[in-house]
Amino acid sequence: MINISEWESCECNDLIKRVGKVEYDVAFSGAHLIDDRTSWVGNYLKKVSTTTEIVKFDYHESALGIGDNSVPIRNLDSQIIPPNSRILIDATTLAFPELLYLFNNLNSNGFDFDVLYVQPQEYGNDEKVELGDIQPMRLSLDGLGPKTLAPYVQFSSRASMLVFLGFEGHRLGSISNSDIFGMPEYSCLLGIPGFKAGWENKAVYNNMSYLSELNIRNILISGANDPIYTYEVIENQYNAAKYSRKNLFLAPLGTKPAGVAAANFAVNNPSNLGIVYDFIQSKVGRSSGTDIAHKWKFKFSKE
Amino acid sequence: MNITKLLNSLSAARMEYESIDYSVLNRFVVPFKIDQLDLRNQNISIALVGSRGSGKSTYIQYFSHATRFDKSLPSVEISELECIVLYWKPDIAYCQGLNESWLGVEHAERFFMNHASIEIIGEFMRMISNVQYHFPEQLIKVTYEDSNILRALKNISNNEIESLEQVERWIDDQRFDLSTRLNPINIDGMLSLDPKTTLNYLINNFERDCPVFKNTRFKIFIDEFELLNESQQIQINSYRKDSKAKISWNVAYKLHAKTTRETRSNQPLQEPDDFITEVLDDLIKDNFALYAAEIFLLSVKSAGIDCSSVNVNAQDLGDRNKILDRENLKYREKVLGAIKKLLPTPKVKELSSDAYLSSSWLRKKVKDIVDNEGRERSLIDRIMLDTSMAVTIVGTYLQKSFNLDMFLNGGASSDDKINTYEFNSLLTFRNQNSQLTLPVYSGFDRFIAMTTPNVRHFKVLCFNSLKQLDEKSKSTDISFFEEIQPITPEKMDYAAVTTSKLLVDEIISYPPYGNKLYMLVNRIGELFKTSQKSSYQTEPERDIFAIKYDYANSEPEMEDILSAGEAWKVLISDDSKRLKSDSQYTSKEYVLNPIFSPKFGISYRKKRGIVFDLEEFKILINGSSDDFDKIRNKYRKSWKCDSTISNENADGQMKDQGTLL
Repeated sequence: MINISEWESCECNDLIKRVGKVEYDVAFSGAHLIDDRTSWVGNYLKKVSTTTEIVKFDYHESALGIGDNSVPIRNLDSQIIPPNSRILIDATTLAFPELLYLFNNLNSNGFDFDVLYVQPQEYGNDEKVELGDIQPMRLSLDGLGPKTLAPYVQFSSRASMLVFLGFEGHRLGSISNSDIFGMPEYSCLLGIPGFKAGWENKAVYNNMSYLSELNIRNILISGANDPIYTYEVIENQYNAAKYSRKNLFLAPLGTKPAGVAAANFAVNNPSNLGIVYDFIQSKVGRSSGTDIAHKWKFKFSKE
Repeated sequence: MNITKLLNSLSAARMEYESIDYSVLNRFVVPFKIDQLDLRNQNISIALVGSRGSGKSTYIQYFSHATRFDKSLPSVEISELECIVLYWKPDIAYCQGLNESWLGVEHAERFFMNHASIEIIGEFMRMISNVQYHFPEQLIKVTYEDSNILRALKNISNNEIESLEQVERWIDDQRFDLSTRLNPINIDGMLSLDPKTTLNYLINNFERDCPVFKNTRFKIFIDEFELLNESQQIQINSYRKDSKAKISWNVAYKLHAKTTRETRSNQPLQEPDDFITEVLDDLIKDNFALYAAEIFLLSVKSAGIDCSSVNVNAQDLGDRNKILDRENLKYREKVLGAIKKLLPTPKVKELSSDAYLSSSWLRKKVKDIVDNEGRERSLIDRIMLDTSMAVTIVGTYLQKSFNLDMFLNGGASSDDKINTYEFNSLLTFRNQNSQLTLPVYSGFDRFIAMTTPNVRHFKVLCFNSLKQLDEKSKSTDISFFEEIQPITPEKMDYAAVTTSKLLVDEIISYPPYGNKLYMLVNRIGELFKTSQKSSYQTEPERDIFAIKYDYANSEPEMEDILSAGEAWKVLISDDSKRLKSDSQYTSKEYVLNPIFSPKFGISYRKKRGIVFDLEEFKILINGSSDDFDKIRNKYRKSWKCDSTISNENADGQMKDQGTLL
């Protein structure tokens, strides 16, 4: 199993100033540089890691692309990097499925690793307002829609679902509208406090109509950038579901640190757990600026 | 009971209730044309399709054993044994997760087949339990220790089932077992069942025990078929292809959803040889006003407020033998009368009157026209005597063919013009002047026009209208529905706009093209709003669009988006030819769902519209804001939307109309 053993946070500028020698043998990163922080990360990884591997999950092929290699999800325990490699995973540029599968692979091979995440200064629609009315927050483009992530496939008829809420309320809406999940029992996790004071209000506002429509009463909170406490919240929900002989589905649609917690939890608790993701595509200019950088050290231990 | 409590109760009831046993007894309002589509009457396999919210699942469940043999029914006719409907709603989250590229074709199929088999065994045993309750003598042998059905179940379960009481527990165990075999993948010692063989085997043995079922036909319906993976659909299609009168496999899916017709053999399903499609919407559209009114009154009654003028109750509404009573004119008048009293519909003529349209505002417009035409001012009073005429004159003045005398002389031409353009003119006034409160979306009749055949949308409109009542009215205790204070047209109109905005905002959450559909609807809505706002109304309301495209799959993504739009009922298409086009390609005409009209201030009536070039249409889906602006400006120009400053007169000459509109 893997767990966070250390958590370091500082301003991005301070972090890059401290860069001296190369700290990592390999860094895993997403392909797209879509905003200031992903550009910053690209630059940072070049300085701290000998190599950077681009990671991309292909849902239709059920395979994780790592550089030029493709690793089928059913062979996810195969070793993809040399033993004793020093590893950094950039959660800023990677989407949730890539984090989940990388964590699984590194856990299967007994690696320790670090995870980096950079908070933005601001999120916002880059488009000018063309249509008059207040628009739903759109930071992303259409994806595949809600899908269960192998191997976290479970029956949904006796299950509850914990949805991590972000700024885009329609992502919760798409889960309920997809008709894929037969469960009437939803609970939600809100990132409170948000990355910045007041951001939690945006998340609540943008999700309000769906929270009301789905009659969601169980609203849980955890700091938007706190994967350690988020892990505890998930664990409590998981245990509660188990007591009532139900599966728990996680839908990590909120902040990336919460997604890191979800991936971490999934690695350590493979049974009775389903995972749903909507595969949205991040828009260019999704955020602006760089703010605080977090680095979490993950330690592998035998159960 | 008061309205506030009623609203709270209705709000809680909006979450769709789904009972575990799937019985819809006393929860289903029988559509008037149900006799045209008794699911048990067809020997051929059926594909039941219906738009979102049309009630497909409930419809099947109404015919299924769960309702026909519901244990709370006092008695059941023996004729119900002629055909028994079984219902299976697959666990879509699980089925979609059985990805072949992850599990391999063989394993993916095996997991799916086991899931299907286990759930169908469960459904079959629930059927036996329900039927046995009403016909214990006919099913007595089922309870014997040496019954054939028990022997069959023992065989299926490798002797894990020893009595019928153990079946449910065995099914539960199998579900649990299946759920533990995917992470990590483990098929050692796993069951290997085929749902069709299993069902046939069960039915054969059941018949041996109970000869009364010798001539019974069994129809199994698989719901949400479109959401199954393609290979799973193919598997089910093979069963559909082999359906017999005795045991048939049927499916239900969303109207316009993409499904495959392939089978495991090289012969795909063919209609009507292998199956027939039945469209539920067609059934509901008929008499929709009465149907929707009944459903709303029943919801209100369930929340605690009964009607005093008419008896609306769940038992009668759920009884198909009572349809004739419901079609009775007196009953119809009473039901519609009750709801129309609450939601009165102002006629278009009334909207043009002083009650809603400021007469001083209208008078000034008429005066400007009379002056521009160089006519005597005494005509103003004459025109203002008929406000419908005055509205139409102002609304059509900029048309090249405008002829004031045609209106003044009266007769058929004038009446025609007023019929065609009065509502259009009111919409234009409303868009041009936010000070005017013209409730063009108010009233029961308009609610029906905007929502047919979607009961959910109708109920939301009613719910949001009730919410507009003032606090005093909402807190006053009432005993009967008729005591609720009628809602004013302005409040209904506000409710319609609010509902419409919410439903447009919901589009973005319709996977997988929510963003694109949201963009498309907003941009098309904005274009039609631009048209409606223009003073230069050369033709009735623009709200239809077509694309110069042959739908031959050269633009697969665009076709997918349009299909998704139709499946989500965001777009509605038909083959009519209202739009004039020099091209032969406009075989399909679309409108936005009429419920979106209030948000954009456009018409919910199908009248005229736009034929887009293909590239233009693609910009509406994917283009940047700047590109959309270009399109909007092009149409603004072609529709002479800026013609308030200088306008063309009847001879095509420009004339000063600076003060007009």
